[in-house]
Amino acid sequence: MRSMFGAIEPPPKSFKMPPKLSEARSSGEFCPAVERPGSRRPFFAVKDFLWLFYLYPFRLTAALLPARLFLMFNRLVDPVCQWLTFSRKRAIRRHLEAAKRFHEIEHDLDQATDGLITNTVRRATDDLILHKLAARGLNCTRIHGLGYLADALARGKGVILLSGHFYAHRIARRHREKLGYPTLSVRNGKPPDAAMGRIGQRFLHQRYVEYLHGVIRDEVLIQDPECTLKIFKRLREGGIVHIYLDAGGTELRASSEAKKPLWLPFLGTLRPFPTGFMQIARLSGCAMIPLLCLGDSRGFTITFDDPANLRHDAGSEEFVTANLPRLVADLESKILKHPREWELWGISERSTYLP
Amino acid sequence: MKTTSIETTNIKTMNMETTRDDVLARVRRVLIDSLSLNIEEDDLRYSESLDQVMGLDSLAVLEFTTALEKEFGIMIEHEKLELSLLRDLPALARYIQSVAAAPPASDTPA
Repeated sequence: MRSMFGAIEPPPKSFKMPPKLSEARSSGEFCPAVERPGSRRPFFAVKDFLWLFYLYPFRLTAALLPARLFLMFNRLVDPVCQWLTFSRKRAIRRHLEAAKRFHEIEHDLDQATDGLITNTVRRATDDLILHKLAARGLNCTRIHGLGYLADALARGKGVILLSGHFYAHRIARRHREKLGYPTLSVRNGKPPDAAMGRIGQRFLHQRYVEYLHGVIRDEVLIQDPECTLKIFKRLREGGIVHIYLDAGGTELRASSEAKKPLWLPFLGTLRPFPTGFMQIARLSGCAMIPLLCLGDSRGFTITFDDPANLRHDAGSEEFVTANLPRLVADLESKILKHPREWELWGISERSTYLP
Repeated sequence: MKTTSIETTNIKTMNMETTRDDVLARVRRVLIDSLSLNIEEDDLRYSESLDQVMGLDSLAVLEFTTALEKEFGIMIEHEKLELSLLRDLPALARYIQSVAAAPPASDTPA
């Protein structure tokens, strides 16, 4: 069954969510990843145990160990994680199958699912490396399009780097800092995690957020009341801000019409996309450059595309509807080419599978 | 001493309306127009902060800020882009008055 919009094409401006889907969404019928009303988290989940082990004994031990030992640890731990994450793999598989109904995915779905778990483990150890090191031990094998970034920065209005949640972005970010391109990351300080139990949610979640701050460092949280202003300030200074286009979590509360998310078809689901950053781009006049980072600390690539051709001759709402679908479609095509590298398969708190 | 026509217009504009009250009145007008607020200028008392006006969020503050820059032909220094200033209308008016009254940068031939 093909998407009504073709394989990888942005939806037309006239697209409105079909009434049947909206009813299904409100009734919870097509929201497999959303906790249904009345459901309760378990007291203690497998993920709580994994996070407890990671944040305490392993992280403290890792501070004393050389980074190369983490690679050995990955190989030992991977089979165990493949076995423990059975429900997560089921969710990943279901999402991949939903995407395959609308798009070509050349990869074998079972291998892709296993690869995603391997990459998740790999990324967890890469975070430990980032916590320890400056940029030593990070092997960037190739950078494409750095000239696009340099030219856009030379205009003096700042740059928004736009990407999805690919595994390699944090290590690539550290490498860009080393090259002289520090980047402000925009992050959700309260990322929803349906896989955590009540114990994990209560005691470990905040600890993980603090730990990530030590990894990412230069960041602003969307919960910060001055988040928008801090982003604008960085752009006004001629700096770089990194925005995750696929950050459509439950924190998207529309405090104003200008921030209302835009629902778009995406990888076999209907998903909300943030629009606040589009307004910031419109007001600042900054360039927007799609970014793709693939790999891990053993070897990764960074690719800057040419700046998005934004239609500025539009009002507030038109700027979003004219530009955001194209950016989303571009991200979708990147994910479909590299499905093992995108970490949000099966994590779609507010998404609805397309029938 | 060369000045652009836009800078000349701005200097003349500020010369005609140099009192703080005038600047504040323009700031209030920009606030209402840029955010399409359904209130009258008189409803905004001088001491009011943006927090008390329709619960404006940070994006609305940004919209207001860029509209102010266009209205007065200035660019607010990025060090001054703080909510504490942008939400305080009288303080903002004083700042705009000081920036707009400063000698404009001009192209001086050698």
